[in-house]
Amino acid sequence: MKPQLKISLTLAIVCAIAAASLAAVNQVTQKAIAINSLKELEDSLKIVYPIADRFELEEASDREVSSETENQGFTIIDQYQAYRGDQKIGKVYRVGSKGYGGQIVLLIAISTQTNTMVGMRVLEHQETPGLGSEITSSHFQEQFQNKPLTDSFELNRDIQALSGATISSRAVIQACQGVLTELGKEADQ
Amino acid sequence: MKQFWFYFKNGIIGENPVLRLMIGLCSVLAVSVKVENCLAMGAAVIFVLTCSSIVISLLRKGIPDQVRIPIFIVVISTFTTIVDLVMKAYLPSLSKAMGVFIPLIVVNCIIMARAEAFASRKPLLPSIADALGMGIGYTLVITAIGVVRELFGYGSILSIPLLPETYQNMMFMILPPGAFLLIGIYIGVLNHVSRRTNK
Repeated sequence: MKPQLKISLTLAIVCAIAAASLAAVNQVTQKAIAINSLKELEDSLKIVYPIADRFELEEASDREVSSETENQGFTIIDQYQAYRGDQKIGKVYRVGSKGYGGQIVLLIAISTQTNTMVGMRVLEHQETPGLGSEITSSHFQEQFQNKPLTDSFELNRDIQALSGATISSRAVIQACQGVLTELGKEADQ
Repeated sequence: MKQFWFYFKNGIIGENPVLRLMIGLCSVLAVSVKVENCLAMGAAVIFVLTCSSIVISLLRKGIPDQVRIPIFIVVISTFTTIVDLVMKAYLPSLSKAMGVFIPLIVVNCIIMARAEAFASRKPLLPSIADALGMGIGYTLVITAIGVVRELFGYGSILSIPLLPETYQNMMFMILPPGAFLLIGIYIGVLNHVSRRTNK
C-alpha cells in the first residue's frame, strides 16, 4: 500500500469512529438538552411575568424586523404573547443589547392592559464580575418593576445606575427604550 | 507499579502542569472564581486527559507520524464534546457557569502536550499514570486558587457563606488580577520549598 493511502485511510478511520461515537452521545443527550433550555426559558418567562400562566411565541413573520432601530446593538430576538386564562394580558420581549463585555440578553415584560413594564430580567451577559454583573441583582432589576411606560427611562433620572457600571446600566436602559419604540411602532400599525 | 507511582507523582509535584510547566493557564485564570467551577473544570480535564491518553497510547503504533497532530485533535475534541454535551444535559447550571471554557479544553495545552510528549511514546499504564497525575495536579492548583478567590471575593466557599455579613468583598480577587497574583505566589512558594528540599 502506498504510504499516502495509508495515512489518509488511518485519519479517515479515526474520524469516522469519532463521528460515530459523538452521534451516539448526541442521541442520548439531545432530548435532555432540549428540555433543559425550554424549561429554563419558561421558568424565566414566569419569573418576569408572574401573573401570566401561558406564553405563546409570536412567529417572526408577524412582525417587522427591527433593523432600523436607532439604538446600536439593540435587537429583538423573539417575542411572546402572555396569557392569563384565555385573555391576552401582555407581551414579553427577549432582546439583545450591547454591554461592556459583549451582548446582554434580557427579557422585558410589558402589560398591555395597564401600560406598565411588569419586569426585566437578565438572561445572559459577560459583564465585569462584581461591577457590571450587578445588573442581575434584584435591587437593580426591581427598578423596572411595575413601571409606567410613560416614564422617561433615563439613566440617573428614574433609573439609578450601578456605581462603576454605567455602560452596563445604559445597555439595559437602551434595551427598554428599544422595546418602547417597537411597541410604539406596533401601535401605529 | 513503582513506575506507575513515579509518573503519577511527577504530574502532581515534579512537573505540575500549571506551576511547573506553566501550560493551560488560560482556563486556570478564568474559571477559578468559585470552587464549584474549579472542581467541575478539574473533573472535565481529568476525564478528557485520561481518555485521550488511553486512546492515543493504544493507537500509538498505528498512527502515521505525518498525521499525528490531526489525529490527536480529533481524539481530544471528541472527548471534549462528549463532556460538553453530558454537562449541558445533566448539569445545565454548571455548564452555563463554565461557559466557553469546556469547549476550550480542546485547545488546552496540557492535553495536547501530554499526548505529544507522553502518550504517543509510552505504553498504556504509564500513560494513564501520567494523565491522572497531570489532571490531579491541575485540579489541585486550580482549586487552591479558587478557594482563596471565592473566600475573599465572595466571602464563601462552595457558595456556603463563611465570613460575617459585614465583610466587604475584595473585588480584585474576582477580577483577573486576583488570579494572576495568586498563581505567582503559588509558583514562588513551590520554587522556594523545592529549592530548600533539594539542598
